Amino acid sequence: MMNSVMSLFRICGIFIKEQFKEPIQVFWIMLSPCLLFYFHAYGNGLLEMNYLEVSSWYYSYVAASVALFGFSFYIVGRRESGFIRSFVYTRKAKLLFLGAQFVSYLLVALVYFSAFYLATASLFDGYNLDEYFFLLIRFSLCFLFFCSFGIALSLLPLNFQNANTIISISLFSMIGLAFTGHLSGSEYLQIANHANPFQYAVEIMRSKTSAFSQYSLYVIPLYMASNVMGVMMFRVNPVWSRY
Amino acid sequence: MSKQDAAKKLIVDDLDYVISDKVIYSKASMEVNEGEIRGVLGPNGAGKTTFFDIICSLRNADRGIIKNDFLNQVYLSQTIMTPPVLRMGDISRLALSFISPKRPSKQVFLDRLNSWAPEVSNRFSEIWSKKSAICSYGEKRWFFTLTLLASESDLIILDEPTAGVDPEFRHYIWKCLSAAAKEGRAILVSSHNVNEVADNCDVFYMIYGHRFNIFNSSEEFMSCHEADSLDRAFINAATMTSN
Repeated sequence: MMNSVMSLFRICGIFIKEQFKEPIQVFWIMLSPCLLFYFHAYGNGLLEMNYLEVSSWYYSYVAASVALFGFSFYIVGRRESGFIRSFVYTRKAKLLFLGAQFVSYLLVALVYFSAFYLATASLFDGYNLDEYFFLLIRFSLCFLFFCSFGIALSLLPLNFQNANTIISISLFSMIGLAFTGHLSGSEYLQIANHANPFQYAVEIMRSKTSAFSQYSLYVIPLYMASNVMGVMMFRVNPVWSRY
Repeated sequence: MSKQDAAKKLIVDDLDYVISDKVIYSKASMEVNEGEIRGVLGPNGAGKTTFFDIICSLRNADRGIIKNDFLNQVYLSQTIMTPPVLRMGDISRLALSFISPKRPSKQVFLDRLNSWAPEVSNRFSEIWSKKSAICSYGEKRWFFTLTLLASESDLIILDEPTAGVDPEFRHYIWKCLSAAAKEGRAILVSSHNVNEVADNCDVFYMIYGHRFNIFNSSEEFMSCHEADSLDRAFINAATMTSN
């Protein structure tokens, strides 16, 4: 058991190093939301609004991006590279791999979250530890929520390029649908948003304690079920191979 | 119990495997003993990789007995692409973390390689610190092969480890394979290069007639297939497969 934990930490260290050596990921997931937030804040007079209301969209975007473009996409990438086929085919190795993949990207997501908070909270009421932890807990639940979809996505027979395209289109559609629903108030869009994970993520970020507890009751079992499914149906062979 | 009885073995007996109505194996048998290198030859599509997958439980045989005494086996697939931003040492540590609970140390690898083939240890050390993006395919291939050989594994399965590797490093790979076998590891290796298999393996199998046909020497192989060269013998045997 102790050896497995040490192996997990060792693998996490390498996954995290890999993630922070990818400048494009850092740009899209950390720098670009910060810049967009500044443009919105100064351009639309958002500074008079509530920080939680405004930032919930951005935190949801960061959680979704790390879960889908990090956690899920890199599972597909490691499979398509042949790495999983060579080294991650026993049940123990699969558990270790999925565990390390989750812990690594959770830590990466928390770094991005903290960087966004540090870069943006000072524009409103300044830094507040209670607010930081209030957001952190909700952000973590959003990350779990998107990881559940990420695991399901990794089980599909998608190659690297198709996975990238599907994640990009899905994320763009989810944000677009949630945002237009928010702006227009159209009844149809409201109905469509009942099936939009991004809409729920924004609501989780804004939720008060009782609503947050209710969301947790749905998200945590969903994540656990997706993990069980992930281990049982784990795809080892690359899509491009004849196997 | 005699020493012979205590030796670890992989025994495959009466193996049947059919895929998409194509018979790959029918009553095929073979074995690998500790301290031996056993080669597997066969034309493309004969079932070499399929066989390795069956041993590693990546696919299930239709029928047959597989008795595997080895506790810690590794399998190097034909194709592995590596994360370009990581150094080869990190990738090596990453791969071995799924195989062995022990922390892989560069010095342990170097000491082991130094005792097997001193010529290769400096080059291994250089590649260890090199970014994967700037390593050639051949360099990655022999680096991975030697990494797995120098690990704590007792059964090492290598699917065409010398493909794409220059003659110098092919020589060192076989030198290290031989030394690792002398230390007690069991090695099962496939290749399309008949000469290197015949020259370096203790025993080799040629797949035809849906079975593993055993040969103890190149002379036996040539004589059995009425050929004056190993390549000709391979072609004659492969023709029997296609017929």
